[in-house]
Amino acid sequence: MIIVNYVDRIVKNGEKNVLTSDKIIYFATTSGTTGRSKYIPIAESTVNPGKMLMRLGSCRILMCLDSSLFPSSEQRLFQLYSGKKLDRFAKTKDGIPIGPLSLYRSAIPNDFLFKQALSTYDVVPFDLLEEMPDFETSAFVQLVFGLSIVDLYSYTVNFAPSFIHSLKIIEKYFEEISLCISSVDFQYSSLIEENITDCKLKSKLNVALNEVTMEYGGLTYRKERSEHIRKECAKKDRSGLLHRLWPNLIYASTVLGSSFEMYKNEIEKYCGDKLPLINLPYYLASEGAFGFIASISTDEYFLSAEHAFFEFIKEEDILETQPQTVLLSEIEAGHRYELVVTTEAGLVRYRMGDVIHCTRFLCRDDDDLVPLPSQPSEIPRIPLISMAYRIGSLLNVIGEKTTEEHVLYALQTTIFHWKQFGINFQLADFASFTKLDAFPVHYVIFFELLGEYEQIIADRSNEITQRNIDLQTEEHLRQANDFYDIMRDAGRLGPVSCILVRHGTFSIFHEKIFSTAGVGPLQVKGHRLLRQTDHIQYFYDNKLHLSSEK
Amino acid sequence: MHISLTLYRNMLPVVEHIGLLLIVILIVTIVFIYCGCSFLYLKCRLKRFVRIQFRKHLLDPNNKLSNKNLFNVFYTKTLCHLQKVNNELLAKILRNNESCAFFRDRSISFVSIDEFRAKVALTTYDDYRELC
Repeated sequence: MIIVNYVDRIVKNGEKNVLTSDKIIYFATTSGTTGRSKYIPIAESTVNPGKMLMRLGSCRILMCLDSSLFPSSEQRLFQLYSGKKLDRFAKTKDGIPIGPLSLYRSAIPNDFLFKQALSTYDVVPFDLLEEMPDFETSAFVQLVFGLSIVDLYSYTVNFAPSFIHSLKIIEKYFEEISLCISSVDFQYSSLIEENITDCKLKSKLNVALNEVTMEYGGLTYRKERSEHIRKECAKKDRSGLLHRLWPNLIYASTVLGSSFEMYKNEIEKYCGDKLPLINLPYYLASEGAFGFIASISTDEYFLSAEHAFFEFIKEEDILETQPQTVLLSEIEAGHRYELVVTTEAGLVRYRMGDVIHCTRFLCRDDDDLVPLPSQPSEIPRIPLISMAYRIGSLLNVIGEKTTEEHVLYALQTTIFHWKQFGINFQLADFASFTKLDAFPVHYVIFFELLGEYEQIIADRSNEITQRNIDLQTEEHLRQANDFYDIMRDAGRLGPVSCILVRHGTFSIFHEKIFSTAGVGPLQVKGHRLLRQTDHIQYFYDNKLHLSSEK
Repeated sequence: MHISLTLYRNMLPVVEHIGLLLIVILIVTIVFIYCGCSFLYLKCRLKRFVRIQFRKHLLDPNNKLSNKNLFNVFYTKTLCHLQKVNNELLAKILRNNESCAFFRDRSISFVSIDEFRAKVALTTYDDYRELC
């Protein structure tokens, strides 16, 4: 049997003309179903159209807002970035960088003018971000710089869980942040002191922070600003933290569709009444940039026919291996479809696993859309779509797309290894959620075993300890999902916490607490992803207390 | 007493010189600190000025003026002809890539949209690292 691995031919052998005749400039790594990451090629020819799509998205937001709200030339934007030095990327034989899409800006060399243009919006010099040792530290640094500037016009974090987490960082560290700003010295940050050992880097950060704040007025400004931050963050029960911290913010933005909808309420509390929360302006995936925002009051996108050839598989046919597809001109409003794309980077009729919802067709009369050009007078059939869900995706903080299969594998393998202690159990059920107020963010998995296990586990408290369960599940989850492994190494996620619950916990949960209404047929089983705090608390209340030592 | 007086007389100019020197050092230090701070302050203000002018004259007008136009052009040219534009893109992709290994191995070439959909199988990631 010969393995014809087209991706490996490019990555390991440096072959050309394998998937595309175009130049490949980056391999975006994304989560696979069988452990290994997928390497998705990004072609050079897609860079400029991608930038155009982003511009269209941003312009569309500004078109939808009151014209008086157009940001002034003085205002900057806060976007939470990831950065990494180009020489630290894994590379193909030909030197093409490999990494997650979030590191795209570091991996793709931009021309001087474009870099300068970007830097006029940035709150922190991007080259400094590329020197950060881990994401948590990087996020903290970006927030300090962002908070030191009073005049921002937007606050954007691509993934909704990361959006919330960024605000949890502010809430937890606001005293330290205020001190760092007032003294332009990062020595007051426990996170920086712990994670950055390079004195030169610390010194560069201090100089950069001093220069940024100096632009706004120096010492007096810093003292007033840090006092304002301290005062506003201390008001724990008041909503609208974002607006209170940056009164000139015009909008906040993050991905709100698909599984991220569950975070919308919490994010809206941070925005308050005065700050509009807007869906991310573009539909971006590792496979390409496929659309841009249609309205600021919904989570709908226009699909861009210039960026990929689109086909759609009806939701009821998704389980088939070679189902019929329909075209853009054939999709119907009110229906869900799996997206299939053919791209310039060489993906042919590629099943994305993203299920979209065709919400409606573009119409002049809808109040939530901006006015359209007068011509053509009759609007052709232009579908608006929103993200419905990603097939199988369960936990997704920063694009790692951990599936039910990944978690199942991790739990089952952990339990299987107990056989060496003569303990033979099987997994009954599990539920999970992402703990966003932990630093760094991490998964929590509750699980139950089949049969009467509580006494046996208690008798074997030397072998079955909480620490062992956590460590083993973590190890197996890293094996199961390569992308999770990468994100753990990068410090963007903390180690999983795995909690064994009492016998019968899940059956009571299903009978009395959990409702399965509104869950699509191909979505993860509803209870596997806990969305409500009372549900989470229920599982914590039923935790089986194990020995924590070994 | 006489010796002390002589010493004092001799030392006086030296002390006066040291005092003068200290005053000069102090003034130089103050000027240096002041200029240093001012230099940094000026540098930062200048940086801010350049940044704002860059945005004001090069980036923002472009965004403001073309804000509507950009969408309108896209609307007229692309959104109003979605399927046609999409079909043209597919033809371009297949033409450009027909000599590539993946396309050759699967005999993928462009004929018509219907034929393309009928003859070419849907793929998943496994097809890009397939077994044969």
